[in-house]
Amino acid sequence: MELIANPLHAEASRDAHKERFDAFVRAHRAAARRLAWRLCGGDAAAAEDIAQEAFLRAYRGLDGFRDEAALSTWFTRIVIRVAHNHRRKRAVAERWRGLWGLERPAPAPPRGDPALRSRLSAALDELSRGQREAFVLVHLEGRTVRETAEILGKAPGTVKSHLHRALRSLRASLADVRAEVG
Amino acid sequence: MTDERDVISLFDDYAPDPLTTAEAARFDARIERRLRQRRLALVGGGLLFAAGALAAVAGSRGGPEPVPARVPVQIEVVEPEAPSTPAPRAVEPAAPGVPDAPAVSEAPDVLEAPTEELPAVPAAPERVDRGDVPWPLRRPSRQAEPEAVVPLLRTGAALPAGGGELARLAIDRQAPTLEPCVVDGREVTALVRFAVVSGAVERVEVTAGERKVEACVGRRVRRWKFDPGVSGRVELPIVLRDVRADPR
Repeated sequence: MELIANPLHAEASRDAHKERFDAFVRAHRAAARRLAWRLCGGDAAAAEDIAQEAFLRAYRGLDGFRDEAALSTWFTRIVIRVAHNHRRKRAVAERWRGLWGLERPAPAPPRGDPALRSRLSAALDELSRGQREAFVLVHLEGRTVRETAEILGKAPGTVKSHLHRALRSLRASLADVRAEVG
Repeated sequence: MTDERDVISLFDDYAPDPLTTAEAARFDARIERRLRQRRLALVGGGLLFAAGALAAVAGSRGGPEPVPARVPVQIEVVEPEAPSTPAPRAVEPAAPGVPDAPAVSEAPDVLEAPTEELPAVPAAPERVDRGDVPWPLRRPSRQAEPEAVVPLLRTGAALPAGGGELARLAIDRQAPTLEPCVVDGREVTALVRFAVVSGAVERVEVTAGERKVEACVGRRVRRWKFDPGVSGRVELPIVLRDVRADPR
């Protein structure tokens, strides 16, 4: 039994941890940013902030995971939680801006059809938190209902219910867009 | 189902623009910088916490003693007066919910004392007909309080309203202080303890000799305990009373 901590060993361990974290960031950077972008209504700057904050939060707990699937689920949960906190803070800030008569700074214009994207963002914004997260994870991120239920900490039946209601709401709010596109 | 697919297909392009290599490098660098800042903040916070804990431990183990706030006081011996003189009323002890004491300067300047022997103290009743609580466990009413408390000592200068020196002393020190003085013709040193709660003097305790006396601060009665060879020096409108005869 090693009674005295070996500083060289500790340093090597720190280096290994750092390397693993760097690899983890490289592997999940795009997915985290995309998920954050979809959850926060297509705001690229906010998505970057959310992804970075999620990585920072994940830094300490990284060593506790050896299974990549469990790690991915755990990290997705962090991204969703950070995104939710960001939305909540943004809502408060917008309320204050409204009181002071200030306008919200417009996010950078995205590529593609900006009008369509803003309509889609608005339609997603109208969903409840559970509906939005379930819809994004299942239909946009390609997760299964079971994975989504595990990530969101809900029963699969609840996720299915969220999906059903989300689709119904989106159909109603995007009816004109569907008619135009169709 | 077709409707569902139609809706979902609208989101086919609903994704951010991919990061360029430069943007990805900037993203990584920013994470690295924030990670470093967070580590520094953690280390700084830890150091501050450790310093605070060390200071607290040093303080509790009697680290550097602060300079005592000395309150020069002359405690006088009040000669007992004639037995016909009515003894001053004992004042209600402080109890929870009692309003704050009035300004100490309102305290009586001199309490009249009997000239000769201490008046006899009425024996404590075994029971008071105010319920089932035996007498020692229940504070006697004002009427039931013995008035035979004889003032022996009193101090000189008045304390400014709101506490003044005493309050400051108590707040600054919260610890005993030793001051020489004369009690009954003997020069002794008193161990004086003060405590102030909610801006009013709540407790004054003096250890000086074997006598047990009480101090009256404003309208409140406080107990002073005297040890041999020790007495108090307190510049306060405090009336000390002999409590040897006080059944309380």
